[in-house]
Amino acid sequence: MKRERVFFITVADKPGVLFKITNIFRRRNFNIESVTVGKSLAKDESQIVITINADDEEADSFARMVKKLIDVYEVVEAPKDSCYTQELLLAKLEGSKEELREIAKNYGAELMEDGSLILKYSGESSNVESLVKQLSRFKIIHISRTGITAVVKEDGKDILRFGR
Amino acid sequence: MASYLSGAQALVKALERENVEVIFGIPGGATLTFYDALKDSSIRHVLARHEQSAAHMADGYARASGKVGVCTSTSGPGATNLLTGIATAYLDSSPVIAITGQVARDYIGKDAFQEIDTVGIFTPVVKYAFQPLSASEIPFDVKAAFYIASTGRQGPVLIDLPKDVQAEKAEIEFPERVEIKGYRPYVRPDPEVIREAAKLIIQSQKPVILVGGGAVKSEVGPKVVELAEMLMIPIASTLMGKGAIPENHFLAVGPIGMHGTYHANTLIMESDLVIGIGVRFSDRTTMDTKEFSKDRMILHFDIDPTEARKNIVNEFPVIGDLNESMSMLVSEIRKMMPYTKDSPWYKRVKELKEYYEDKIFGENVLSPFIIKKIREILHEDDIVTTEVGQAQAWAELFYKALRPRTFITSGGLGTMGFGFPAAIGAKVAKFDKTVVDIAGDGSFLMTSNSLATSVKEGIPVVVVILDNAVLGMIAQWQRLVYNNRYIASSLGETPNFPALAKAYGAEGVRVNGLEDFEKYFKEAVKSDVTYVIDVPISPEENVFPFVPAGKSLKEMIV
Repeated sequence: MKRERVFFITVADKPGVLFKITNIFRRRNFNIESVTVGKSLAKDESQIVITINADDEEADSFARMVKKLIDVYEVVEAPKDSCYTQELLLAKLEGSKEELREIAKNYGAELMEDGSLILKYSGESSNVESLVKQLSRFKIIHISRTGITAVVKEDGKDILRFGR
Repeated sequence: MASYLSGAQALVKALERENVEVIFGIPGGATLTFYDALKDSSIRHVLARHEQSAAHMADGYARASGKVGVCTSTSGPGATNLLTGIATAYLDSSPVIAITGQVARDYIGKDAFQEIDTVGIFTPVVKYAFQPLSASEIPFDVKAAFYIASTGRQGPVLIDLPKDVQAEKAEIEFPERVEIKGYRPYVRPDPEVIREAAKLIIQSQKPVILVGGGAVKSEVGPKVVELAEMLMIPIASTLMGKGAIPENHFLAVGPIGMHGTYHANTLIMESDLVIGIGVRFSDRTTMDTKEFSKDRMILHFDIDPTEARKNIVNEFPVIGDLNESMSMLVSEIRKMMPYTKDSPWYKRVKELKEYYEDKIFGENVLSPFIIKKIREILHEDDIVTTEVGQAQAWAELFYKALRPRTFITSGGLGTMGFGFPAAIGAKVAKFDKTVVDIAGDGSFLMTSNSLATSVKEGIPVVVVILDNAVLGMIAQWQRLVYNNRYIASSLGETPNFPALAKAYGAEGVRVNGLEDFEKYFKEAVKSDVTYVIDVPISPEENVFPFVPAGKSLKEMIV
């Protein structure tokens, strides 16, 4: 059954690693819904969080193919509903400050002023989507979304783990 | 102990420390400094005439010897020419190191002369790609490259070395061993899983063993034979598995697949269990995958975890070192069943094998007899390489490989032009053995300029061209699958192959029929220059059995 999957990939922090990983998904014509990369706790390691839409077989096969890369130390794959996920939105806007304050309050977002207005929000992707819709009546100078980062829930199900 | 060396000297010294005895390649602007350092080394250099052939030579050397083969080219076009050969090695899990020159560091990524993104292009077809950006990194990278290429599931590794790094001098230290985080090539099989596998084998009424390229490389054949003899299980192979066990063994039934033997394809489709050992169940082996796995269990022994359930979704995978897996399996089965069994299944195997083993399908065919004659004359440790197409399929069907590493072919990528340079590489590895390239006229022309290498470097091989003046496999498909609508498959009677061979200083002869062939082949085997035997055959000759793409192994055309 196709569903959204989150891959947590611990890798060597050096050039070319992301290319090798995304190339595995590209070769089989999978669109990467989101990718985020950050340093991990261990020295010289990064964590890449990738979300794709795949069935069980595909997810299992991708997890093993990605782990096979020598620069990949560990792969954990979990269905998205087994994860606690967050995404960060930054939106630079022009328009009524009062209205924006109201929206920010409703969403628990922060409004910053820097000549123009900058809205900062983090939440689940569906909330980010609905917030972006609300912003359409303002003049949007620039919107940036980070894509998903996540941790596996304590009671998360169907978790695959390879390596380490 | 550190020494003050240039990057090029460090590279040469690191190669010497890996006991490299030969490098196949062509120099260029971005490798001049490397070649200059190579001049002071005892490592032999074999000059190819095209980089693709250099890679095939290194690959042939690796497959014949079990050692790592090394090839080299310059940057840009040298590297892109090398690519086909490296992809060929990758698809057949052959340990080859490719050393490519690169433009100086400051010019990388700026479309400099003969600059291409070599690491980017090679990454999908190598186990790993190194690009040392300082001379002091070279010894580690070389040591790691050899370690990665030769362990676990073997494969090619790239070392892309910028020109100025070759020239840069530094204090160089050579590591005794390398630790590569994230690379654990050795996988110990799980005893619990082995016990399960043993149970499946014991419960099976109609098992077939299927050996592949992994069984050749790990030289696990004797253990496979032990298992087979214990339970009287027939042993089939993939194209890549030929020679893993002696094909004249009483339980051997030859290869399965698009051009498998009639009895092997029939037995596998009548079986209730396939025991795959070092195989990857490629589409050319299984044909229709669903039919292949429909009425039987598939047990799959392999070292590479990504092969588990890759092509056969409902298989039972046993991941681990093949030698260890087979030892554990054999002792497990002996515990369960300490005697051989004489079953109706074995009677069926015997019956089919006796009827079909020497059967040649089709009328007025010469090629199968030529191949059988080659087998008759060669010793069991002589080596055969093949080109790709009809000649390859005839060799698959009619040449019985008796030892591992004596049947060398491009199975995965199916690279035309592979056989001749691979034969040259194999001959360098096993100079006292006869090496024969079983070729078609189409494939041979793709790398025939390697004649220059074989003559000038004194590496004599025998090339047998099954010359039908067409791209034979294409013509066969156009005849049988595309209703005789021939297009672009006729090559005509050109070139004159004996004259071509002689132009390079090799021997060449055109023979007429089997007897004539035998006479000249015996002469060719003794020749101390490369000998090309042109064997005219009918353009209408088909390779049978033939399973058209998309059909099941049951649906053989004969």
